[in-house]
Amino acid sequence: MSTLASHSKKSGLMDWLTTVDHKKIGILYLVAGGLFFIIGGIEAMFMRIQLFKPENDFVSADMFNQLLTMHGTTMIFFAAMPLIFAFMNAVVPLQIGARDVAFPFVNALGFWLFFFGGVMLNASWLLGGAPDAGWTGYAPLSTTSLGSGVDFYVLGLQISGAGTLIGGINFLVTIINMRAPGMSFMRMPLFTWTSFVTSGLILFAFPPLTIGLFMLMFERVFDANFFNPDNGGNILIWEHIFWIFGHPEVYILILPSFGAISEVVSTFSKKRLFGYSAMVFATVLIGFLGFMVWVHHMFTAGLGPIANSIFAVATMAIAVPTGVKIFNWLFTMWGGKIVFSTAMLWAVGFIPTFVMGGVTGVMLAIPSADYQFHDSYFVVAHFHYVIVGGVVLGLFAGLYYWYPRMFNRVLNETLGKIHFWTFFIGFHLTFFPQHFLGLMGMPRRVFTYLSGQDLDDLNLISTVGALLMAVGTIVLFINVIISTSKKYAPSEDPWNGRTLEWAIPFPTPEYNFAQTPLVRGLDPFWLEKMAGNKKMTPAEPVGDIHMPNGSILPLFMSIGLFVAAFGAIYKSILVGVIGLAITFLCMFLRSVIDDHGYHIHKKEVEEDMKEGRS
Amino acid sequence: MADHTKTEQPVHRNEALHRKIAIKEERKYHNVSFIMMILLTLIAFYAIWSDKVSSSFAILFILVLAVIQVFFQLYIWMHLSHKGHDFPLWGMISGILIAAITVAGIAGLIWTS
Repeated sequence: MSTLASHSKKSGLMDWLTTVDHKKIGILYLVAGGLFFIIGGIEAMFMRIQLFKPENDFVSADMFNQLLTMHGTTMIFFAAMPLIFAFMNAVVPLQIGARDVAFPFVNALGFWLFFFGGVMLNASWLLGGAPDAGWTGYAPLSTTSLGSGVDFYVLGLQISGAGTLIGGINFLVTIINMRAPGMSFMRMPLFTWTSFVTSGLILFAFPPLTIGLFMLMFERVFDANFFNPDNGGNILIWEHIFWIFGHPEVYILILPSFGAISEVVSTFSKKRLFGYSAMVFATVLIGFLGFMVWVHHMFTAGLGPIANSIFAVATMAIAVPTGVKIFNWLFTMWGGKIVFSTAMLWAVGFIPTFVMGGVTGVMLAIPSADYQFHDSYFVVAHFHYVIVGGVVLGLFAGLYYWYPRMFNRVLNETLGKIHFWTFFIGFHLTFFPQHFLGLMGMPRRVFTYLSGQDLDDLNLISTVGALLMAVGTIVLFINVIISTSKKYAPSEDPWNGRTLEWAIPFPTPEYNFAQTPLVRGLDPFWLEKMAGNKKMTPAEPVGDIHMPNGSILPLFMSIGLFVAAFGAIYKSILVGVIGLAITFLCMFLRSVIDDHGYHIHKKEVEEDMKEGRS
Repeated sequence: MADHTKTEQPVHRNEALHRKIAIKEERKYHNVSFIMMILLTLIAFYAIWSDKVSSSFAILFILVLAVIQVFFQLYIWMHLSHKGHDFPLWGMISGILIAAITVAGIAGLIWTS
């Protein structure tokens, strides 16, 4: 970026392995999350092929259990989570006018822990069988599962969970402390707000998961009796702990998608977001209520009518702030100058799809009705409508919207629209019939069904839809490959953006902002444009910019835990000790070696500014 | 200009005086809480060690003492009441709230049924 080298530049691979730059970590998250998204998608395709006709024998019952467990675990923890972190990394520091996150080193550590957790889990396919107790890992299924599959589940999630927790704390601190002058809380873009609330949910929701997984590990490795009724334990403890984590987890996933949708709807309607403060309030309220509804996953566990009623009412209450959001998006579009770009298509497709998922959610929140729906394909249809129809559609909207900022390329709009229509139609084709399959009595997590029960046609339609979704995803990857061509370099500010991330030239300079911008209101860049300015008003003179040094330590810390986890699974104390020794050595090195980073000098920044690079 | 400095100086001196008083006040709090915390610890030890206090009461009693200690720690030593501690306070309150709901929920639903 600069002709004056004030620090040694690392080349290619080494640069990516040692980076602490939030923009590069965002790309790493996106690539790794995309990889796991494909793996989870292939697992889903195998299941749909198995179910396309009655009594099919494409996979065995045991293999089907592994597929459904790995599909759920991979998609939630290793596809949706990292993709959300990808956009949080790529966008949040830019939206608040910061040069990086609060703890760049810790940011890199969070990524590598997540990545090795995912590799750990998927390694189980090659090492004697994947976990087969469902992504919820209910006891006693998980405690008595043979083989080491569930051990991979426990330790893979434990390692990646630590990385996620680290990431959440990092973004909380970043958003609280590193906002540019004038960027008060009620001037933050909605994606930053939702990332903030999501980080808070991560902070409070992941510790229960960590404890639950520890208990499960102790049951399996040391024959503890937390979940063993024969020795005074209680299997319900696992369900409670898992869902105390698990329910906030789905809000952790959906909130940043809500944020991305808000940005896209507002930008492509050329209007400021309708009811901004109501949107913020709704986001916080959803986050808060998310912690008091976990029992709705356990209505049929026999907790009694009083507990069920309380949690049913709490669950239905969440429909109110979510409805507020839906109406605010509609009102934002109303009377706006709408441009139906690909990103906007995803956002517009998201709204009715997510409403459908929400409606079945309220249906499931009625305990008496839930006795009918529980563990049927109706539930499968519901959570795919909120997670694919909500989270994934929001992520795709975000991908097309922020792709220029992340990769300095624009995605092809025609291919993008093909991607949207194939995926969107395929999605409804796959999951809409599953509502009726569930109502007709098809239980979830079964590997086959008999003919003559009216299940054949709907299952076939569902499989055809899944194929269409796969086609859409392939189109996306073709689009990504094509976008590497120079032809797709973005013009300045390709979407006529409103927020700070569009106030920077392409490609984003290493230090983001040559001068910290002064924020004068909501949608700061739009305000400056309306005032006739081409650029943000700076809040500081040009000066030396302090940058953190890259480090290989996060990678090795994570490798250490990865090795130690194998020691725990195969009961080899030596391997475990070696792994932990690597991690602790890295922590020791990090503690004793002073690393003050380096400065990009004023002269280089001024030169960049003169040539329009910053 | 002369007027300006004349009016400014007493205010300035006043501020310094206020700060001095505040520091003195705080030192007093520190001393009191230090002694109180040692006393509370001794009482807790005594409650467990002595046979005169029934153990079921003693457990509840020392839990109450522990809560008081936490408040001393947070407010006197970690200056939670001072300016700029809004976010730590918010974080702790929401964390305690969620933990309380969780524990009450699990305990209520598992150990009463």
